[in-house]
Amino acid sequence: MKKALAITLAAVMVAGSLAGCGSGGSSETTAQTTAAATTAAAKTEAATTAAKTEAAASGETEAAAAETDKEWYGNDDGTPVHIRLWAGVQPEYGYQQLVDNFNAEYADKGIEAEYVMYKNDTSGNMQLETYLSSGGEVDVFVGYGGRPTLLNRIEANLVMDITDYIEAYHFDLDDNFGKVAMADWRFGDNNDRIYGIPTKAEYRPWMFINEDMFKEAGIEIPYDGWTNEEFLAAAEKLTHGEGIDKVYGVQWGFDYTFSAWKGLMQSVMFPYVTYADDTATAVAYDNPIWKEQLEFTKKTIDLGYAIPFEDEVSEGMTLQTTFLQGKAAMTMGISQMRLILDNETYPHDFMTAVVPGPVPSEEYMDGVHNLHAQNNSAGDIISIAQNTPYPDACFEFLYWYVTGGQIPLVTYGGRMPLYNGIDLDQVVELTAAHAGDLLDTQSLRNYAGLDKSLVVNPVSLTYASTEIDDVFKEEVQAYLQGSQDIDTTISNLVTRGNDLIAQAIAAKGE
Amino acid sequence: MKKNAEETVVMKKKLPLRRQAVQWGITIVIVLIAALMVAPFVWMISASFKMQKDVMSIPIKWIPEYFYPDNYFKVLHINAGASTDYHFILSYWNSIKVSTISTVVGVLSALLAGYAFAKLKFRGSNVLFILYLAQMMVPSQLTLIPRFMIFSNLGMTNTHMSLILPKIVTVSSCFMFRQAFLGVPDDLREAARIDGAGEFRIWAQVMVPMVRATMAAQATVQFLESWNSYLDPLVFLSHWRKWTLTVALDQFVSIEGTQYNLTMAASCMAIIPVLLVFLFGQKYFMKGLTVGAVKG
Amino acid sequence: MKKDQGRRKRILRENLIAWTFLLPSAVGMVLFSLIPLLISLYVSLTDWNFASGLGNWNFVWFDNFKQLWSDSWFIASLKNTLIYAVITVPVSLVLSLILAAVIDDFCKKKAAGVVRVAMYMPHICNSVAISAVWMALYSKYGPFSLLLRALGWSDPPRFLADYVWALPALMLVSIWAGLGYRVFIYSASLTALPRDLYESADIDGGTWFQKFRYITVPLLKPTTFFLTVTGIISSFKVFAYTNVMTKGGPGSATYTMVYYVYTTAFKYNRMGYASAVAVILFFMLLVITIIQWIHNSRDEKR
Repeated sequence: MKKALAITLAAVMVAGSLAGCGSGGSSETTAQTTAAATTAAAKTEAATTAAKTEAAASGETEAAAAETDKEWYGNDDGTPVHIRLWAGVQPEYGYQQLVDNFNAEYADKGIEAEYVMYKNDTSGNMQLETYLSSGGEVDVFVGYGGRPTLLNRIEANLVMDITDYIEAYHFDLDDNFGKVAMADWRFGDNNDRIYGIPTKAEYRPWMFINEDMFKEAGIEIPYDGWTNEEFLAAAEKLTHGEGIDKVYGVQWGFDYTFSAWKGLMQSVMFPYVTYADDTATAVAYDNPIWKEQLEFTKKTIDLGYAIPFEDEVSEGMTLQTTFLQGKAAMTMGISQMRLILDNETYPHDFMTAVVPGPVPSEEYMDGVHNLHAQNNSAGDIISIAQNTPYPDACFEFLYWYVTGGQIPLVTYGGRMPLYNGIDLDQVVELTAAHAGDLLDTQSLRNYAGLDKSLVVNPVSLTYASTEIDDVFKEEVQAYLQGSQDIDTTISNLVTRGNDLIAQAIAAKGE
Repeated sequence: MKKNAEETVVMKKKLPLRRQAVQWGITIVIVLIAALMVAPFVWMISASFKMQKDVMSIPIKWIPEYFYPDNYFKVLHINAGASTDYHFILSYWNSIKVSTISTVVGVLSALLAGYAFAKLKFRGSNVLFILYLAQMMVPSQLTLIPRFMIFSNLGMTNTHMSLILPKIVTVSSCFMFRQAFLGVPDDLREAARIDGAGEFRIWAQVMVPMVRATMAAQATVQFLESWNSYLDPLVFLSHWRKWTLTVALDQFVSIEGTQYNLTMAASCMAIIPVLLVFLFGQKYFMKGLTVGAVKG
Repeated sequence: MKKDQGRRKRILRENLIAWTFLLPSAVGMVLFSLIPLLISLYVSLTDWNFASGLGNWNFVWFDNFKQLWSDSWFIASLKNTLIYAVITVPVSLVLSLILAAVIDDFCKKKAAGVVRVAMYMPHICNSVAISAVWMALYSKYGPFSLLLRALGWSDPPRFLADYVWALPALMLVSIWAGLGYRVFIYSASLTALPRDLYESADIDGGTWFQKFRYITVPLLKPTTFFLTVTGIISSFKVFAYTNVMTKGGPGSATYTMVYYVYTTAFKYNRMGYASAVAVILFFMLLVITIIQWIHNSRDEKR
């Protein structure tokens, strides 16, 4: 037996000493395959990366500049190039239509697009990133998760710098998408490099309400917003029934759109919701408004008006199985508007209205639309893969997409365009035409008509944001399920959050 | 304690009534326990034929009062509109293809390796064997990304090859075959050698037939494993046309959420083929699966 | 001299043949198992963010390993994994051993076959489907809660979202899913046991339990060893149930090491750190297996 043990140990030691050459060799081979991708910089440091990519890109763009209105993007032998668009939405919510439209329009220009859906969750994003780094499967992709996610991908050299293309196309982003909305999406030392264009305007603190239930209960539709108190009163009236047939006033969406519930806070605390200030060196959870909001949410649960956290999580409840089946009268999750519009997959016969979420008190109500517009989140960032063999065709596609090609996404997907070239009437008309009696047009007009130019610059710098979100969910769950009191929760949130930030800063500094 | 069928009959005649009663009683208890083990499956089948509103009705109705196959139609997108489906049938075909080829490749390669470990003398055999065993302890999530990188260097991402090729080494099967071959007496090999057979012929014609039971068991095990594998296909296959059933099912579960009726219909369909393979291969299980266990 | 040459030639030939037999599987082992493992061992000493491609990393020596011990998620995952193994492995071993023996001795022959097959069913089904079924079973209005209410517990816990119950709930699924397999293996080993010991025990008038305790259990030791090792390995690697049913929650109540490896690697993009966790897992498994092995072979010699 001793011998076997010795052999095992020896094997382990050999394994250890081999580690060096093993990985050295393979890193070499990877370097070869991704040579094109890593021309600029292989090793970190945003500064050098940005500078070098710039240099590399400017070489390319001289060619691009001359050929903005190219007639043919395909191969020299007359065959079209095939590009793949990745996004996290099922094809039937507009993407298939979008790609079909594009292919019809570009059939004689030599580009053929295909839609590939990925899951916008941990495994799906991992898949996207692995394919971005290996190349060949993704050409254009729509990313989620805000600036930190894109920044991470830029630093990993997965995303193409499209600044020079934008100049070559004489495409004014501030004009077309709003100066403030764009501010969050500029990168590099001088804050002037573009890696992706936001396409969707989204106002997270808004919510869906079941208008029929409101009318039945005799509650006025809160088109212009409401306070927590008014909200609570409404929730009480809307709640009825017992056991499996119980209809809840509200489903907060703790499980599937936790960020939407968190979005409620944005209309009050924006932009310092997660981080205390622009340096992002501390979390904002000790702000008394957080305590107030948490206690309010707990109250809705304790009084039985809201679906408890544990129920949502353990049953994996979604908007499809609660709100759309008449089991909750209100719900967060404005990003899911496509489901409200889809009467085929989720048949329902009531009218939905989009209204602002509740705010703590009257003083936040002034100019409610403006306040809510302040946390316009510019989402659905469309970018080009660093590794794509067809950058010209990809940018042409991207340009087509952001300047109106996205209309099917408005019609079938309920995704409000950030692009100013599509006006309010058109958006409402398109959505209403598809939604029929399912959506209150007036409420949609309020929502889609929010002033995009009022967006306040959010905190652009983040540290460990994913981890902090997970800590947040963990601690808040403990509080809302009643296993920990509010003060412990807040102090845990602050200590753990700040620890994570310190750790991330230390790691970056090394 | 251990008796063959004949003895049982003899014994039974001798058994006193009390003993018989005990036997019946325990049999009933055991059958009840077994019923408890399959109850979730029965529930699953029953729920797959119910409408959403009746899935959680109180008390549980094991047999639905109506027949509602629409869940299956919906999962398979029969009679549905133009909207894109979950491609269950295509995923089905992909799974069958991948699992079958993987199994053939895996069993053949393990048969060769197991034989070498059991019967052939060569330098480094101990070290290599321990190296093999050590691989069993590596969580596959750990090596996922390096494996992905290797495949992408080989240009094999998004191909079924990326799922099949790694099956060329199934360490546990190698181990089982080694144990099985160890149990085959050397005389057979010697006799064949005297007849002038080469090592490969001995392997193919004399030795392999001796471990048929293990072969059947390992084939079944590998088929099930490959059919049920989840994370690898999730990461390696980007395009829905290549998806295997687990990926499609996972997609389905996360999109349909608590629509238990639909989820159960999808799950039922995913289970049918493995159930068939198992029921047919089941005879060999007892013999084949236990070579390693009994010998220790 | 000539003889020696002949011998050497023969040995060379034997080696060559053996390696030919081993070629496909050895190549596969090196390419798809060993090299990835070595890369991972190396990566655990770096700060690699996997999206940046192989090779783009800084060597940080043992920083990752040092950091682990002040990481509450890691501690929780380590604790949960150990609890998971310490409870599920013995419980399912004892249960399956008793079941196998009872089925073998008391069950009607025909019933025994059917029962074994029925029990094996959960083992063959894919974990996503199993998770889906159990989520429904554990649901607020599912059979479990119904049963508990019928038994007089007016407000039964929400199993998968309860701090106390979530881990046991997952463990139950594991035990349930693996029971049939273990019964199967035990049953097969039982048929291979020598009969004479039982006969002499019968003559001495030993009770069933005495025979079970003093003959069956000791004789089945090799099988128990095998099942313990494989059981520990599989319980250390449990992933799909956590991933589908609880996502590690509530809080970190069901974080397991493999689940933590997965989240740190792919959600937080900290491949180096994740590899460090996985390496610890790997060495834990290695040590446990070696200890078991030594223990077992010492017993065998006795």
